[in-house]
Parts: sequence; structure tokens; C-alpha cells
Amino acid sequence: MALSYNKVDIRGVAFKDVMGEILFTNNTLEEGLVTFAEDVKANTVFTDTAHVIALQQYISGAPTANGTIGVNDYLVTPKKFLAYDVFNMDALRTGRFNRDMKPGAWNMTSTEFEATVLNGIAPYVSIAAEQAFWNGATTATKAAVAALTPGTPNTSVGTAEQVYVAAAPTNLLDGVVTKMIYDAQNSVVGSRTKVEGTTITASNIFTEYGKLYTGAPSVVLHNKIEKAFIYAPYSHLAMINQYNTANTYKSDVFVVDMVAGTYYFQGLPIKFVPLPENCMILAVKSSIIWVTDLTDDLNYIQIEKLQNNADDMFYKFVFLLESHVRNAKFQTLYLG
Amino acid sequence: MAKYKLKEGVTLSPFGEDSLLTNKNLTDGIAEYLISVGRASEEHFDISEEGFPPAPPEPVVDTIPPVVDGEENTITAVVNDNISTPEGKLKKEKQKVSETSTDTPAPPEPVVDTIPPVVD
Repeated sequence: MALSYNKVDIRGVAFKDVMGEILFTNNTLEEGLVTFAEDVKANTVFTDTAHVIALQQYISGAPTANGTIGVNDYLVTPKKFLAYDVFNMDALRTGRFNRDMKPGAWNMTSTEFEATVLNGIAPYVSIAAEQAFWNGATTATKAAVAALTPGTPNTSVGTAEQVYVAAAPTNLLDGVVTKMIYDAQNSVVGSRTKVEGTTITASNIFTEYGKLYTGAPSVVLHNKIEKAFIYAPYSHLAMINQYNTANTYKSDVFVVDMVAGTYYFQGLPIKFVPLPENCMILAVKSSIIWVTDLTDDLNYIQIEKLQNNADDMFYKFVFLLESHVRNAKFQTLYLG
Repeated sequence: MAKYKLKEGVTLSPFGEDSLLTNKNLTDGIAEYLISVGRASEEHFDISEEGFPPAPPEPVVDTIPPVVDGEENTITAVVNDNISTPEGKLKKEKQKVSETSTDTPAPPEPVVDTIPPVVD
């Protein structure tokens, strides 16, 4: 029984609000920071193209074929997750939640408890999903990356990348960062553009963003169709504000609109998501895919009695989730 | 043989609170990297130039079938029958002697060649 209720027997009145511990929400979902591929139950093929075109001298006779029409298929099957616990509302009988229980010993259902406490579980589930989406690795991927020999070339795993995967939360899916480092489907190092970083502080944050920016492929920075985002960990918000305060009269600062809550580096919007520390991603939104069956699954909580001859109840969330990075070679991963 | 081993009670979170390094996922390369970038110091580690023996593998728990009522004794019996170390064999023989002895205990059976040697 997992209802932990530090209860005060009610004698007077109770303040209306029940305040949750989580004061922010799943930004990735709420603000649409990535692309959502819904209605994916299993075995869905994502296809990327990367062509090589070779211009040659015109000849009027039969020409020689030259170039590559490159097509890559990735098979994606989201993992199915469950959040489940049991509780008994009889524990609420002497607390504040007894006020809306109907008369009669049989009646122990509190709609206030359902509305304020149980519905408050959804943000926790949603944030757990968001963290799993960005940050984490499967046991198999951890073993595979640990067996690689680190090196400087982009075709090798970096030492920092190897350390990240070893220390990443073990999960049912590879998060976006891990997906960029290692392509588990083809058992090869990911084709991301690698930028070796360092420990980021409020003092060096502008310099380190500069390394990410200059390390990114030019075609991404010049993309007129879709402006790239810089995805950064939450801690960077405070560091950027501190940096700007310390460099108020200089021109090389981040562009920040405190009222609108927008942050920019060299014209690129910075989006704060649950990335690990000392990690940033420069990518176009259409390349980072949140694969699921239905995003609203994260808002649907099932609350029922366990069985008819007892008063124990359960809550349950069920949802599908997988991360996918398309055209990884155009996406830049900074890790230090 | 690993050169670096985290000291008792020391864990590292090189990429923030959600990352975790213990002796189970630590390698010499990781330790040297963390020291070089200043996210750990040599004080965090026991360092042996000869190398520490590898940590024993964790038991694989998810392949053990759940114990069902009434099956526990059966499992124990199977395990005892499969003991193949000299100690296990002798213990078994002792039990056999005590159950069947009258006045004069039977001499112990000689150790046969089928007992595998004990490896470190």
C-alpha cells in the first residue's frame, strides 16, 4: 500500500489549494520543442535520405552514372511503459479529505482527493517520460558503448560520450543523447557532429556555446526553411543570466527577453530541456522525434477498485515512448 | 586488472544528478578522464599500480524462477545433489554415515577421479 499521507486530523478548515511538488511541466511536450510522431504502435519505418550528386561534363552520347541516391530506413517500435500504484481511501477518513465524503460508512471516496492529489500524479509521469526521452541508455547500449575504443575523429566515440553513457540512467530506451552517440539498430557509432566540450560554468558559457555554434554544419545554420534550436540543460538558464549580468556593458552576451522568457545565442533560440549537465544539442526540431501512440496518454489516469470485495484502489498510466534522431549527421552534440 | 577503484561510499555524478558512476561501471579510462577534466580527484580513488581484481559479477536476478509454495524443498534438494566440490562430497558422505552407522562407522570412500579440482 503506497499511500503516504502525513495527516492532520481536521478540526477547522483546510486551505483550498493542494500544492504539488512539481511547479513546472513537461516543456518538451507543452511547448512542442520536438516533433511528435503519434499513432505509432509498433514497427514503423522512418526513412531519411542523403544523396550525393556529382556534376560532370556534358556529353551527347551515353553518360556515365555518378553519384549516390541514399536512403536509410530505421525501424522504430516504441517501448510500452506503465505507472501503477495502489492505495486505500480509508486512510483519508480523519483528514481534510473527509469533507466531501458522502454520509455512510460505505462511502469513503473523496472527489477532492481525486482532483487534487491523484490528478497531480500526471505531471510526475509526464516529466519522467520527458527525462527518459532525453537522457538515459539501455543496458545493451551501455555494454556496447563501453566496449568501443574512444578517439577524436567523428567516427569514434568521444571519451566524454563514453563516460556519459556509462553514467546515464539505465532505462528501457536510449534517450536522444545516447541515440546521437550510438546507433544501436546498426551497431555503429552515431553519425552526429561531435564537439568536445568541458565543464560549463557561468564564466565560460559564452565561449562554450561558441564551440557548439562553430562546430555545427553550415547547412544547418543557413537553413532557411527551419531555424535550428540549441537544446540545453535547465542549469544553463541561471548561468546565462549570471554571465549576462557580469558582462552587461559588453556586446558578446546572450540575447535574453526576461519578460517573454526567450533566450538566444547568435540568433538561435535556446530551449531548456532535461539534458545532462555539460551537454548541448544544436539541431532542427524536425530531426528530433518523440515517437508515441498518443501524447494524451500521459494525461490519462485510470483509477479503479482493485476488486469488488475490497476497498483497495489503483491508479494506472500506460503509454508508449521512443526517441528517434533523423539525419543525425546534421545534428551537433556538445558533450564535455 | 583495474588500476582505479572508488573509495568506500564514494559515487560520482559527472553529468549532473541523474548520472551515476560506481565501481560497477567505472573503468580506468573513465577515472583518468574525470581526473583530467577536474570532475574527480585522485582522493576519490584507491589506486593500485598492480591492479585490483575485477568486481564480482552481480547475480542475474531476473532469470531465477519465483519460488512457489511447496517447491522450496525441491529446489534445495536438487542443489545438494549437485554439489560437486570435495567439501560438498565429504559432507554428503558424513550424513550418509550417520544415518546408516551402527557400532562401527564405515570407512570413508576414497576420493574418486570424477571430482573436479578446485580452482581459485
